[in-house]
Parts: sequence; C-alpha cells; structure tokens
Amino acid sequence: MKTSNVGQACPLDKPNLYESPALRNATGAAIRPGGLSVLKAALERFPFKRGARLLDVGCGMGASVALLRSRYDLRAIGMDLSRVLLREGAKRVASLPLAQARAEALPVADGCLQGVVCECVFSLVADSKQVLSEFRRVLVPGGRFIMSDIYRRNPSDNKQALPCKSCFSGASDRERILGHLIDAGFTLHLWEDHSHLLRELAAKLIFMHGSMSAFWEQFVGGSNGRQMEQAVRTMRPGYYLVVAEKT
Amino acid sequence: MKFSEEEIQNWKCETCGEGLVMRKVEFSYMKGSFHAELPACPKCGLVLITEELAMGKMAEAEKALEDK
Repeated sequence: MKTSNVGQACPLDKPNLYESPALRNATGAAIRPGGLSVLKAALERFPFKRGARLLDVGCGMGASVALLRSRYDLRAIGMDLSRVLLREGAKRVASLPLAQARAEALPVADGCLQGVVCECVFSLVADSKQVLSEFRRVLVPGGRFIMSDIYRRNPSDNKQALPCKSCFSGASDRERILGHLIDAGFTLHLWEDHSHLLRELAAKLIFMHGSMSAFWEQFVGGSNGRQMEQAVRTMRPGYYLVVAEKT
Repeated sequence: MKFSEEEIQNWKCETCGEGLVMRKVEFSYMKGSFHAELPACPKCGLVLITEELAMGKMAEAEKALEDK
C-alpha cells in the first residue's frame, strides 16, 4: 500500500500531533507556540473583570484554564475533544473544570459567557463557520473572543494539500480568517503577528528530533516526513493573535 | 544530538578542569531564542558545540529562525 496519502488523515497507527509526546515535550502543558505567553499578552491589553465567565475551547490539558482561574481570578472552564489530553489534565489538577465537547456543538447556554478563548484549535475544526456561530451564540453582547492559531503567509499556496491532517493543513490566510470573523458577526479589535514563536518552536523541535523531517516522520510515516516539511515550508506558516467582540 | 553519560565524561573544560554536565542552554539567533540540553562546564558555563551539531541541527535551526 502506498503511503503518500496527500490531504488525508494521518496513518491510523500514528498519534495525533497535538496529543503526541514528540510535540508536548517541546511545548510543555500549553500545546502551542509560545505556551501561555500569547494569551497573557491578549489579557493584559484586553482584560476581563474579575469573576467573568470564560470558556477555553480546545483546552487540551487545561493549562490556560488554570492560568485564567489562578492568575486572573476568572470563572474559566475548558472543553476539548481529546480524551487523552483531558485525562492528563485531570491527573495534573483534578479540580479543574474540564469537559469533553465538540467546538461545533458546545454544551453551553446562549449568551452566558463574557469571553471565549480558542488557541491553536480553529485550524483543526471540521466546520469553522459552525464553530464561529457557536462562539457567537454562547457570548453575551459585547463578549470577547481571543483566538490564536497558525496561518498561511503564502496566500497563493492556500489550496495546497498536506500529507497529513494537522493544524497546518487546516490553516487559512489572514484575509480569509478575518472574513470569516466579520461574516460571523464579530468586530475585530486586534490582529497581531506572533510568527517568531512558531519559528522558535521549530528550532526547538529540530534540536530535539534531529530535523523537521524526522519530527514529521513520526506522524506521516517515514517516506512522507520530507514531503511534509517541504509542504509546510512552502505555505510559509505564521502564528497570529486575534481579539474580536460580539456585535 | 543526544550525548551519552560516557561521552560527556570524556570532556573536561580546559580553563576550569571541570567535567562537563548536561545543562539547559539558551540559543539566540536573529530575533529568536530557544532552549536545549547540551554539555557545559558547571563552573564557567562554557558550552560544548561539536562540529556535527554546528553543521547539522544548529544550521537547520538557524534556517528555521531566519523566516525565509
């Protein structure tokens, strides 16, 4: 069987990128470029009142939820699809309010949250329009939405299929992302580039795994590691922070 | 690059005479920085960077940080 599965899911015997120790050993508990630093930067400029209700969609092991609760005194809860990450989060801090849910169907009442956080997750969701619609539904009018994720800085490469489904294959370019936000009824307060954090993570992964192709081989199979590395390089991935408000 | 205990024990800092130990080292290049575990002198902090490391992973990491 040929393994050049362009645009398809990763081989079944390979771990999901975000669940794998190969990535988490480099990122720590907050599985994204820059760890908690991007969220902290957003909250310093767009703070919430103490006691505000926030939901972290795609919370993973709950590192951001723990930060929001302990440092900012917010009533934050987290939801994620991954049982693996939720289980590990519960082992780390058993009292954290984390639950399993899909971003497309949040088990949350209408208009009950002051904030939604979504970090390095939007590029992974199956239906991005439905996810934004859900974020809008659960927010109060004037509620804020903080999102950070990977984006394509080479817009002409927007339709390139990658050898493995990941946050890179689901990444879009700046104009499309902002268009989706505005179409969904959000007002943009901030778009900020944090691509240096992605480059730093890449350098760290190279040191830990020998090369980027060696890192990718663990998820796409040996023969496709180089192909994945080149495809990712062609899209010139960057990392953004967005803060938007429900209007 | 992973150094074995045996390999590290073969190296001593010429200035201090101390045996090298694995230590968390910060690399800075262009506007980026990251951490890695490398053999270093426990007294003066001098880091061992072998030719293999400089020509291999370090060169690739520099390219990653250059943002081309």
